[in-house]
Amino acid sequence: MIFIRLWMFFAGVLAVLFLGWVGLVGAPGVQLAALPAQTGLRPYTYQQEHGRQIYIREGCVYCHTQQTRPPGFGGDQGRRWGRPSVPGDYVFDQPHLLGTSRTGPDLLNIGARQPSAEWHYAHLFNPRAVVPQSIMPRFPWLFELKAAADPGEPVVDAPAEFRPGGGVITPTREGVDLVEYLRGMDRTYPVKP
Amino acid sequence: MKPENTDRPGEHWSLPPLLGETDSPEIHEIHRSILQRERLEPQEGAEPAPWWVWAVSVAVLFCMGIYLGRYGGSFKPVAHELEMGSAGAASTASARPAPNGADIFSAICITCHQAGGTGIEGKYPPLAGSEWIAKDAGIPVRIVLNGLEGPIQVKGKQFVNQMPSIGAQLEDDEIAAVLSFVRSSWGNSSGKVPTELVTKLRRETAGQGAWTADKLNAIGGKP
Amino acid sequence: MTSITKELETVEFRERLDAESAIPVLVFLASGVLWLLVGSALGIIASIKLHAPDWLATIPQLTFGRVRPAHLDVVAYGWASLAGVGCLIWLTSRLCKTPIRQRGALIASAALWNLGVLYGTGAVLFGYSQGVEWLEYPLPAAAIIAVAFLLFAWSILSTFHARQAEHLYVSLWYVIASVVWFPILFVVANLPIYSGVEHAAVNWWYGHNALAIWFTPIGLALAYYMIPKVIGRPIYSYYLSLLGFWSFALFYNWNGIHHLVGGPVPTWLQTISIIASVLMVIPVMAVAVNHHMTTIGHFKLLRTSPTLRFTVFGAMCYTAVSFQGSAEALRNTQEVVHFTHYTVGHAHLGVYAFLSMILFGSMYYIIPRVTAWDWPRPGAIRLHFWLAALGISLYFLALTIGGWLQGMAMNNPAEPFVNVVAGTRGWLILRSIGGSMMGLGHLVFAFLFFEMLWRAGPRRGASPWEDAK
Ligand code: HEC
Ligand code: HEC
Repeated sequence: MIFIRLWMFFAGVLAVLFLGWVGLVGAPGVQLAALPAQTGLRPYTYQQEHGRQIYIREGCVYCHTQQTRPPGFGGDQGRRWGRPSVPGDYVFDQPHLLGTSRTGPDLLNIGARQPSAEWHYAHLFNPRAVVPQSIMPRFPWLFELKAAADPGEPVVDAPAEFRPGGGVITPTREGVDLVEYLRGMDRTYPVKP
Repeated sequence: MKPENTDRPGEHWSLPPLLGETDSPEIHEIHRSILQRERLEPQEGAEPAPWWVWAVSVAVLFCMGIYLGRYGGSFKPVAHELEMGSAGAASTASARPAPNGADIFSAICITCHQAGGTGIEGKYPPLAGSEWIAKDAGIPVRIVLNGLEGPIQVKGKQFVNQMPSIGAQLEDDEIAAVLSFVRSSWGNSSGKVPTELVTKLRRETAGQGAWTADKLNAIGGKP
Repeated sequence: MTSITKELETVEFRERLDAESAIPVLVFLASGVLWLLVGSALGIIASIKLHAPDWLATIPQLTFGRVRPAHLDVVAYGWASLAGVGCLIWLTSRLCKTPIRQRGALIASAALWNLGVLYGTGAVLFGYSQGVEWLEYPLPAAAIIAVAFLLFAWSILSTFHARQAEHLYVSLWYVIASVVWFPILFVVANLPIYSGVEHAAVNWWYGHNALAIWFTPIGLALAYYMIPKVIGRPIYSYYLSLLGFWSFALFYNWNGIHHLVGGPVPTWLQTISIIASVLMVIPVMAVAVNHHMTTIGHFKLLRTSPTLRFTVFGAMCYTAVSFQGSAEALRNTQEVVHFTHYTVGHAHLGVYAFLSMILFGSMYYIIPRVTAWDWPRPGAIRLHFWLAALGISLYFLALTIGGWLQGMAMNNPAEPFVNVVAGTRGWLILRSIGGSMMGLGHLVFAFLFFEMLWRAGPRRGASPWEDAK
């Protein structure tokens, strides 16, 4: 017999699950909840939060991380992706988007690295127009083809093949908000312990 | 315990009619023959576990005890403790090897200015053979520190774009290293950029927004 | 052997057990097979998109970032779970030596489960994902699946309660433990109350535990049954079974945070997960020795029994993937492979080469017993095996080598990032080829499966390619 009494088996089974939960979720949860947000960190604006939803919807997280590793651990510092990130950098993130794959570069500080909205529009519309060897998907549905841009509206620098019959390509509200989110990604403020 | 199947002796349990042939004696026959070919239900053997299984288990537990002592950290909610000490990321790495300009170029500038410093037609101006980096080292230092925007003429071609300020991402000696690298690669040959120059310009241009070609020309850096 | 035990092993009695579990088992298995086809198609699309990014590029529902999670969810919650449940129902009835209970609940469970997977996957493809790996399904879909799981658990536990077996065979420990564990895990992880780094911890506590306390127990329960059953000899050592089960239960559920090594997570937390991952050597060794010593001397049966061939392949891959996992969790390895395609290769060694192969093997055993029909085409079974085995081998090798090189290049800041990306291309193409072979194997298998459902195809009596002499 695997146990003296059947209830002991069930008790054991429940106990191991509970222990694991305490160790991996409960205890760190209590510790982390006591940490303050980093002072340099701003909550997302409404527009950025909407952009974040687009980021989730399009599954950017399956190719991009948002976590930077310390010196001596991988090439993150050498690649200048930003100082090592700490728990206080993420307090406004729900859901978290730390990610597990770097098919593309880390984006935790993409706003500091690439503040140009135009670059982002051109890149999202067709990454290979900007980085010829890229394997990142295009996101043409975040853009629309128009006869002419409204005043002040950004225009994507796209070759004529994408504009049958002329006209201009402009980002939709979703595209604009996504880029706002990306441009706001900046955790370069100094860390407070 | 009383086995259930003796309750109703001789009762015929048939499989459900499936999508094809329906239930028939023949189907029973097939099922029976499959079951007859079957071996006994599995039992537990009573061999003892080999001694080395226990030995390896104890050894692994022991090693992991040592591992915990070595890498366990302080049980505080601090990330990167092993690399950066218990103050975590708040402490700055003190001893840093001398920066390598080529590495910094590959990490930062290459996204826009491309490998070989060729740039992209109509988007990013070339660094190879550019007149803007050739003469006065102060000009590229200012561009990297504070960014550049608006129309600019490079090697006879017009660009109207925007380069972000990179000053906050790089230390003074790193900017000096990358520009020294740029100024002595791909046919460029205008020599090293001293760190002191970067330090001096960083202080002088603090608060300065992005440069434009005109402003740079006004300082006297006109190529 | 007591007379009662003998009575419980007669052909008539087993005929009755099979007959009573047939409908629920077939409903679950058929759903699983259909989801397998859907999941394979999604997987192949996602794979091709990584080296041909402009293929199908204008359809939002088919962008990589949606197809990739849809693939994972379909194969995990559709194929592996549904086929797994189908096999576990049959297994529980056999091991408890009593007809399966609550068959109505099982049918309802199958219906709800399919609905949940359909809804959840549709939601991911149409842009309503929760955005959390392994937990993409929106809450209503997750809730439907939770209810379906509880109905299934109810049936298993009622059957267990009514058991007539005197001894509880090791497979049953895994089954019972997992039906208790999984619903708790699934509900706790889906609660919409977490944020930031703590959410990441919950995410990977769940993500790894989905394997640890649901998929792996399915695979092990089936392997522990099929190997001695087909060979016709007891499992080697009860003591090894005990050591294997309890060390498994104790260590496996602490593994999750090895998915966050190097990240913004407290150092001690990363370290205990790494330690638990290495300690998995103990249960894995116990299981491997137990299976190996049982099979030893009977390896020639691998030639004639598809069940044994698939199952032993799966059991060997369990050992391989677990040892790989222990080594992969270490900080030095994580530093290289964490964010690369290497991890994807590892995941498929687990969920495909181990779990799916054992599911195939078990289905080759179970289906004839619930349809009363012999597998019609030995050649096709052989074709299925080789497509699956060679396909996953190519898949695994390509991503393991390619992923390692990717990691080394990524850690070298002098290597521009685009070169890292370009360097993976060839390996990703090889992966697509391996994946397509697996997909082709699934088509063969599905064809055979539906022939069995219709009792179609050539009739065969006992032939060399069958389960036991
Ligand atoms: C198939 C994987 C994949 C997906 C999905 C993906 N990307 Fe990328 N991304 C890449 C690759 C590869 C690169 C590097 C090449 C390049 O710059 O295009 C990249 C680069 C980037 C960069 C430039 C980073 C830098 O440091 O220069 C940004 C910004 C970016 N991606 C944003 C996004 C956003 C936003 C999404 C979702 C809408 C997304 N990506 C989805 C693969 C992906
Ligand atoms: C985000 C893209 C981007 C990055 C990264 C970038 N640059 Fe630039 N750079 C530009 C653009 C765009 C211009 C032209 C600006 C304009 O049109 O006004 C430019 C112009 C220049 C110029 C003046 C024109 C010329 O070609 O000589 C220099 C010098 C220069 N960059 C150096 C650098 C160095 C050194 C780095 C790395 C430390 C770097 N840049 C990183 C985009 C970038």
